[in-house]
Amino acid sequence: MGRHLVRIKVNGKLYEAEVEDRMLLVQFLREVAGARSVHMGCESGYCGACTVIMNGKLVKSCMILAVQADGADIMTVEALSQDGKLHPIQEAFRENFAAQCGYCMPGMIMATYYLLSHNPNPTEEEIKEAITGNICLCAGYQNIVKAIKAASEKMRTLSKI
Amino acid sequence: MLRAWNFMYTINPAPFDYLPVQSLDEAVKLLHEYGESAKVIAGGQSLLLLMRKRLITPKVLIDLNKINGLNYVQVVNDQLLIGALTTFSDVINSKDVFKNCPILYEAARTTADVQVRNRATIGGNLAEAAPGANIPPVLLVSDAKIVIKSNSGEKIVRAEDLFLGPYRSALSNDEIIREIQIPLVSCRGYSYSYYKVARRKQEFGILVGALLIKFSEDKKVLDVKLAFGNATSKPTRLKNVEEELIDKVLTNDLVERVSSRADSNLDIRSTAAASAEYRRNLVRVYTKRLLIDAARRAGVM
Repeated sequence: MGRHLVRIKVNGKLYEAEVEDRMLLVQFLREVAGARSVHMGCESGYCGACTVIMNGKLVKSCMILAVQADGADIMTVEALSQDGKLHPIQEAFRENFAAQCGYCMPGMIMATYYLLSHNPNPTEEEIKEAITGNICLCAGYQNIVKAIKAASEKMRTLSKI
Repeated sequence: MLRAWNFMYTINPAPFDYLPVQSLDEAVKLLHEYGESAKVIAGGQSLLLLMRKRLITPKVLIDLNKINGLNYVQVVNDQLLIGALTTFSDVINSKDVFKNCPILYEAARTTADVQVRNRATIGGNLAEAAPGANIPPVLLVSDAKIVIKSNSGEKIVRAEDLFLGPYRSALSNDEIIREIQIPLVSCRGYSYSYYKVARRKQEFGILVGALLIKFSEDKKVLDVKLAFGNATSKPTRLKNVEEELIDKVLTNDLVERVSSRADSNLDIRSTAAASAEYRRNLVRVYTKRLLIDAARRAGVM
């Protein structure tokens, strides 16, 4: 059946491949672009482990076809750390022990990045709302929420300097 | 947005041909040509899941996302017009929706999660006709009309007539929703209340309730519109409750009396998520909560 040539920019680098029409974006990101931070969790659009930012919007990459993302600009967790230095969000997650098994982390961190870029000073309620689409099966939500609060403080301090 | 809590059996979709289109005309032409073997994809937040579970296996997938000018919210001639490709996030961010039809804002805001709302479209949501969807009851109470396009032209149906049953809409194979129209008079001056009952926030509702109510200066009910989704097999207005309230002043006694028999005319659904008995109870409880909420919001109770 159908195949298409797809060009997708992932973390600033352009990847091009001829893929089956039924290939999912998450598969393109992992297999073609090598962005292994993008996890496949439930693969039914529920858990959010595959969450990435596509053209500035937070999306679940298992619920988009690779052909639909042709020409798109994708950002994954790999783009956050610069020169081996962790992003403040990643630092806050580490310092607050937000990861238990860590499988949901890439999605959680992208959801946090999206939240904080729209709302630099979220309330606890807003934080919880922002990660509704990301399931942590370890149920380590307390520390995740704590980490997101800490991350928002870190980023606000940084932006003041 | 089928929110199936089922990790098993999700595989890749069966092979298909992907056809992105530039215009709605092109899309309906292709639909007409391919008939049953084609499906239209907008946000894809439900469709892709159905395809991955191989519950549907279209041979041709027509992608509407490249069509320009179908993602809009605007007020024209006293009507709120929403393009079918408008995402839930765009509905939430629209000042026109918030100002003119806050109940729609409320329903969109409580749908699924951020990621899904960024992709899922209002047209796709209606076409899916999921019984627990947030938007349908709101469209029922706000007297919305749906503009449907096919190869042979356009037609307008009332929101009430669009839904036939769970996952069954009145759309035939070659039809696509183009626009949702909400008359401003149906929302303006009304107090509202909206509830979704679900086990988890991001899931479909076991019950979705929407109420618009208008009071006169002497606090009598001038007009009231109440609808529930997922109580029966399709979203339904509760005309018997509405009739009992007209021209009366809302008192605790009246609200109690009316809501205690709100479910009496309804053919209540029973599903794995909630038995008919439980739903009956929910209908009574939420009729009461909706009325009290909206009355308080209007300052008459």
